[in-house]
Amino acid sequence: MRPSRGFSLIEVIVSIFIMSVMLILFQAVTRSSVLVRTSKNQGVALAIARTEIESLRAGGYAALPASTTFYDSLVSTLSSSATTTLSISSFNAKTKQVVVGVVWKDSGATASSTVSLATLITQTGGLP
Amino acid sequence: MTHSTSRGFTLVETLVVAGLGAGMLVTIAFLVLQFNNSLAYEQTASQSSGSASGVMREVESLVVPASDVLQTHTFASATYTSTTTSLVLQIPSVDSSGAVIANTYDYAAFYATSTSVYRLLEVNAASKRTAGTKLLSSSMRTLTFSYDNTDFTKVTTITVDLQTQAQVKQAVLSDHRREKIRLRNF
Repeated sequence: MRPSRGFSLIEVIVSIFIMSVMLILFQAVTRSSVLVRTSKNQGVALAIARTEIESLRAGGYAALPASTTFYDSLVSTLSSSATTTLSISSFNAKTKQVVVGVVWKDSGATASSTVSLATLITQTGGLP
Repeated sequence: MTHSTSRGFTLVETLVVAGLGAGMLVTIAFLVLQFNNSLAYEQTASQSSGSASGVMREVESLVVPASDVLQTHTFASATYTSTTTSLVLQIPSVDSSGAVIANTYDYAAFYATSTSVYRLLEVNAASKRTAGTKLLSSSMRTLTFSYDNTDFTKVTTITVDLQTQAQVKQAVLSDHRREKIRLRNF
């Protein structure tokens, strides 16, 4: 009998395997909760963007604002640092392109998320 | 046949193995518990926000084509009134090709009972919309409709404010949606 022979390769591999399986499981759990939160916030952000687009369309071409941001009371429920963007550019002589965006960062997520919607608003015609 | 190699385990070895085994068991049990908890949490969270989105989508899909908000309308089953918690709409009927049928209307009501939100739709025989009562959400906390005019015949904009709430163990998950929707056929 060889007294202190150390670990065999198989034993080391098996133990590393068990540890990595546990680590992966743990990571999957934490990651999926971030995913669920992000998808929920995406729904909220989409609703915010839609409401803004609708109100700009209803306001009409002449009433398009100059500001680069807009207010919605639900923005702060996304995250404390959530912001909104509004960009209005000329599409052609009688049409403007409006891009509405909501940017927020979920706790636990590595990058910030964005939802953005675009529409064209014409000088004449359109919806009331 | 006995060798000198089959000498059994020493006490220390047994203790170490028992200790490792116990540690492993605790870790695995913790992981399983954690996994179950967060699974239940996530399921409820996505259900709650999903039903909130569902209600908003459904309201939007009927308010946008609606021509009028009705103060009251008598459906086959009951009479509904437009208030801050319920909404009655008159919507021009559309045929299977999507064209509006003149002077025929479908009627829709959104109402809530305790925590459930329902949509009732009554259609003209020529309409392609599907009539019936539909349960939109069963985790509602508050549902508020506000109108841009106190005279229902002049309402062109409806603000829908919905809060849903679901409970998982000790945690309460809530969702808040608000949308301003315009009657495009007014």
